[in-house]
Amino acid sequence: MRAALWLKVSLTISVIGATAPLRAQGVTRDQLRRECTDALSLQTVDSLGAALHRRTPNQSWSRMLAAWSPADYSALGDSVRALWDTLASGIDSTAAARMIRLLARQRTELSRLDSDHGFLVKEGATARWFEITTGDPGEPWLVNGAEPDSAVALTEGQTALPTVRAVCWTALLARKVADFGGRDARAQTRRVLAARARRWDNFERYGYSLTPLELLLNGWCGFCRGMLEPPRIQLIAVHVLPTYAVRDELGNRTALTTEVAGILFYNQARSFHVGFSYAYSLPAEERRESGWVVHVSKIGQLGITFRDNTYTRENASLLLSADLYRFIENWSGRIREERDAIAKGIQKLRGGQN
Amino acid sequence: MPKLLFVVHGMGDNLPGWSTDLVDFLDLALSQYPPFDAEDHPFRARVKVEEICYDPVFDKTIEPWGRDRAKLDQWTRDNGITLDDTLTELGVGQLPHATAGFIWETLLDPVLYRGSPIVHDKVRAVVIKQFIDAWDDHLSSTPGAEQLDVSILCHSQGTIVMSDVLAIIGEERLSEFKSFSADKRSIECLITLANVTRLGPGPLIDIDSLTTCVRPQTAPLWSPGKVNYLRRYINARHKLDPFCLFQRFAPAQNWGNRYRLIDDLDHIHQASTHGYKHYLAHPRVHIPLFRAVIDPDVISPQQEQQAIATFPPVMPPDCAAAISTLRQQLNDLCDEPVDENRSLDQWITKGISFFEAVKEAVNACSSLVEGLADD
Repeated sequence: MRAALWLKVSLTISVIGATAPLRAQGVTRDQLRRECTDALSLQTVDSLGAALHRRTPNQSWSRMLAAWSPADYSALGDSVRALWDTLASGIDSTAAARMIRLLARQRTELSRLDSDHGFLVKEGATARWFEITTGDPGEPWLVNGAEPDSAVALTEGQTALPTVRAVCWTALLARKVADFGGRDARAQTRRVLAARARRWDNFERYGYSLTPLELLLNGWCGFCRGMLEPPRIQLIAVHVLPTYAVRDELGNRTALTTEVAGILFYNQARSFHVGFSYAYSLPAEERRESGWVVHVSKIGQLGITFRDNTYTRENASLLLSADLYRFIENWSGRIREERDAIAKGIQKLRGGQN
Repeated sequence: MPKLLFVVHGMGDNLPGWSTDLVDFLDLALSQYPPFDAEDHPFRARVKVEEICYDPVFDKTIEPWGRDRAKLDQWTRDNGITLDDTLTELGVGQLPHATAGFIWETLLDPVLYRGSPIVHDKVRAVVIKQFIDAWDDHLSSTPGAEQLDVSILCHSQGTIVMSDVLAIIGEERLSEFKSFSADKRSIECLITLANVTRLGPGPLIDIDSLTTCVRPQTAPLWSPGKVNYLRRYINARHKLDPFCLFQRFAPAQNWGNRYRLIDDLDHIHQASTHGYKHYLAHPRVHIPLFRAVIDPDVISPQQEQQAIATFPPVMPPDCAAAISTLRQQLNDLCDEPVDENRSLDQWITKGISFFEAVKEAVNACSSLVEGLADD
């Protein structure tokens, strides 16, 4: 397999004319740029990639990758290695040793992508090993600059052109393979982020509002939510809400209710919540009453409070939040309209029968 | 290589599309130098820019308080309810009457970010999604074997947000970030203008920007066996910008030649010395930026020397007297001692003094650009 690939790469390189005699002295800055970043090198690597895998030199590397079977990452690794083997004869031994170690690491990782689905969708391949860092004037260019002990340095005036070409061309191809091998894991990351964004949207749209005090309190509540997540448990503290107090004998009143303390529980999607709070209500022109308020998501809040801490039906007020009051009004209005429509229909029917 | 630059705004009012001004400014700055002077949009032509916008998170947090307060006031008036009850007063009183103005729309953003973990997590979640979605889109669409180089330019509060976000992703503080972490990829360059990543009392800072993976590869490893996230770090700080001079970002160790501190800026070309355009106008700032983002050889050393030598320290010259007064006021502000435990309070008081000094300078000389919109 390796020999066949080596032969194929050698022939391809010969065909595209990249085996012209290379000078042994150190490269210039322009040569470094040409071999490591310029269109010429990129096009050559693209052609090589395409030739290796589809035997269609005109097809671009990216189109080839898009059509590639997912279970062939190891074969892609073999191709990268074959390219290296073809280009690396007689080059600087330190650079060669380091590149071979990096390629071996990548080959192991690519095999794992083929065999371990969890690794494929959660981690993916490592692009960093083959990223090329452009050096400032007078500084070396680096491949895998993050790990000084295994970085491959290409230095203006010192590194010979064959070494630069072998290192850069192989690195470009290997990094592209790594980008491709990280595609599933990146897509998985984006799915997780999209789901989190929906949870925040739901929390804003369907959740209970947060006052400044509650924003502070809930923020520092360690068990209320996970990192980067909207609250799953929301604490209520000194939260004022307009309500309507419905009474048996005392007469109905508007009342400003203050929820002293309470707790809400959200579903996983943060689209629904239930909870309760201990509250004081202040009906217009009357004394304060205390009691409990129940929350049912966006429908509203329903509470019961008692005058003078006397828990009798005569002293009880049923609290409807403004939201709930509006909901009931709309609902009763619709019921009334439907009842009237039915009554009219029946009347018509009777009239018709008569 | 395709170049991708994320731009991240600071505090203040920043709606989607805010970066158009910034990119226009970068185009203008680059076109000062031959051979780019022949092009209309030399920066845009070489760098793809992606904007990060998180200000709506603050707006959505603060604005409902003002709305709720107005509605409650109206409702209590309509229904004859008095707010003389202590508990009710406490409940209603915490809601502000108005949420517009320099304090609410600008100075309070960092206070909310530091003070409320819900706010900072929401901001981080929003920024992470924008950042990773755009990064992945560009990775997927980059043709052939080209290497996509990702850089980030952030200003003021954006430096806190982006530093935190990069630490969360780079160190994979949640497992879903593995494929974008420092273990898998690296960032070409982080450029911070008015770096305030260390602002705030210690207990409120959950991510210490000096100890994370957000450091260049030439710096000591952030953790044994791990790798640093950046290939280069540029940090610009103006001598008369009172916001970034206390609790300043200053690594104790040597971070190597890929960490570049630009702290010799003292020009005054507009009254607000904190604005991003004011930073970027200086060749000491924009030339390293262009070299990092476009190419190390994009501007020659000779061009650089000439640009620095001809850069006027004061603009416009006819406002020299007003600028001299402003310089003195800003110097005094910068020299004020700071109690680190009360740094957020002092952020607000310094901010108000800064605002007043800027307004005074513009009133004294009308041709002096204010520049508060870039804060």
